[in-house]
Amino acid sequence: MRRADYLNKLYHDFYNNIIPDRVPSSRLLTPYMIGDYAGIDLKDMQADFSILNEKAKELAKLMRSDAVPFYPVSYMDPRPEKFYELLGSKQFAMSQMGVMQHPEISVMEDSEYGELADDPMKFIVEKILPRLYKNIDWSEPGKAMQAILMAKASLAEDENALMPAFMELFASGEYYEGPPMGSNASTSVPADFIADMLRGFKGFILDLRKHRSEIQETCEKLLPYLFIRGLPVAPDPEGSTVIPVHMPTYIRQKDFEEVWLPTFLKMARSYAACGVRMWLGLGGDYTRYLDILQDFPAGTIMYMDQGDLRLLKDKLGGKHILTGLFPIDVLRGGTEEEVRDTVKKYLDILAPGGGYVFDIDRAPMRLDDVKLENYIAMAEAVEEYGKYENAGQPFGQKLNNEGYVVDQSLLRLPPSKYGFDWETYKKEHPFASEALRAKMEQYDGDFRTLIFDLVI
Amino acid sequence: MSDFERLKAAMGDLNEDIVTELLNHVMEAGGDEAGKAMDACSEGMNIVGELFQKGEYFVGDLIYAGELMQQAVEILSPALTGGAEQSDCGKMIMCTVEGDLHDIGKNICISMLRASGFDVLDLGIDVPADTIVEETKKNDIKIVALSGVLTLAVTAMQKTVEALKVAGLDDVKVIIGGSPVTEEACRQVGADAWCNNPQKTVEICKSWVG
Repeated sequence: MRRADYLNKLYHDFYNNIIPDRVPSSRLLTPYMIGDYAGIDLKDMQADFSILNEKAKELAKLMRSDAVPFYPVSYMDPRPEKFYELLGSKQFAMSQMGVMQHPEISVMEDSEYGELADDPMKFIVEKILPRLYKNIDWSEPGKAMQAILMAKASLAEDENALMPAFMELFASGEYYEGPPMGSNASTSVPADFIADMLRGFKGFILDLRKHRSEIQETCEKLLPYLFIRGLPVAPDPEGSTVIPVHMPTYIRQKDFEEVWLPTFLKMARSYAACGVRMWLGLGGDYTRYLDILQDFPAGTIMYMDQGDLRLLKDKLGGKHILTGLFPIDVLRGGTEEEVRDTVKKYLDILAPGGGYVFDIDRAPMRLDDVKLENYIAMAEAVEEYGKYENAGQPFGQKLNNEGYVVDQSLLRLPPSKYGFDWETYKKEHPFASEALRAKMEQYDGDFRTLIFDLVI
Repeated sequence: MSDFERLKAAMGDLNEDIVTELLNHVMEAGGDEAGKAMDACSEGMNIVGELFQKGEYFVGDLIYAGELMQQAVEILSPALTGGAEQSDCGKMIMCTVEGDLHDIGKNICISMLRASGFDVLDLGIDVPADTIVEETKKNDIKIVALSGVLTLAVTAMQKTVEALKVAGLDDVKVIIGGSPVTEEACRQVGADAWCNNPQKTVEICKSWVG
């Protein structure tokens, strides 16, 4: 049997509530880690990611991993330097050592909630983009077009740069072949979207006290956009919609329950109704919210980086899927033996009864964030200690166990200056075939995707 | 309850309306008691820090408290002589380490440290070890606080501690903090203390200046 067949079954079982042969476990090598391994300056690497192809394969082959342990560059990870620099980005910047990141900025005034809520697309296109990107200046349309087209060209090149190495390993029959095409997506929770990209962390915190109802109203208006963005075209239990969660641990319970949670729950329950599994990045201490997390739709993947393991397993393990939690500290400073012992200790608590995907609490970014021999030892130890004796038995709760139904209002975008209207198009082009409608609406969706890609 | 006790309590409760009203009273009365009002606000900030430590306040509350403190300084500053902030705890350095551009946690800590009497030299973000060593020497600093959010910040902290040692600055106390920092990370970095709580940071730094 090819290793890929074994792993395809393992993942199919796991995400269909059958205890698999062992705990799922994949590595994730960032391009920064591969660049460090290759001894290449990170700034040179980001000029041309394709120089990593050979070293990416070499490093990948050193370690056990269910999935190919790196992936092609995307606009999100790592944030591609050329793309953001060509646009004149203010929200993504490179540090001296060459790592792209997101410094705190605020590009919306507290007096502008009404305008954002009236027509989110119009406000984002006309007001927010020029504030986030100095080269998207609508008073200089030619220059703006040049910046966007050059940035898109650079992104296309970056996205393809690591494809040869990735495809070679993917086709080798050694790795999990992944969820069905079209079953993954990503989005943001409305309140986090406002905090992260528009008002900034501090602005949002202050607005919770002074513009509370405006935030609530604006979250409702953003909801259809963000829901549709995160709705995969072909949902499948093995796929997921990735939602990094940001604000809950920083705010009061009252703010969480009254401002953050309502639109999240509408989104979450409708995803469940569509057969979409959420992957939530829950960084920080969520102890005070465990009862609320427990009530999230069944089968949600919860990536966590801290908390009492037994309490988390007890509260969330039966209904949801836990991932993360394994301490990077031991990979940085421990011995191989300590790493193996820690893997065993964590799996003894988190693995029983299914519902745990092995992962580290904090993903390494640079190669010296971990000792390579420890990283390799950890991967081997998971395969050794993560075996189930009761493989084949059912576990957990199936997606939409609760029987939620889709809130149809989430699928209807409000009228917008930037919305596409087939009737208007048809009037202007009376001979256009009706068959063109679906295409045009797809292009309209592509446009929205691009605009939201620029603000997420 | 005197107005200053009310002011301290209002600051602790994060009640902006009462804080502003009481500060305006002080200024309307000629501003002679602006110094006392500032002290009351600082004591109120300590209450905020304590409530954070108890898990009753969260990071958002600290940010809001920082804004209130800033407002207080703005209202009182025309009547404050010789600078609004006391600095009887001496000078220290705080910054985000090399490779990391995050500054929210650093800024919260700095506002709490300043409210507690430290004269904090803020070196900013993405600060290389060499710069920290240089500024420590130049300003005769005895406490260095290092902040970071990214995983790689721990390695940068370790390099900074090593650079301070190499420069012969063994007597400088180093405290580290931020989301990737744990007790184990502190041991690996070789720092004197760690913490992810601004009030605790203040307490540790105060214990170092006696």
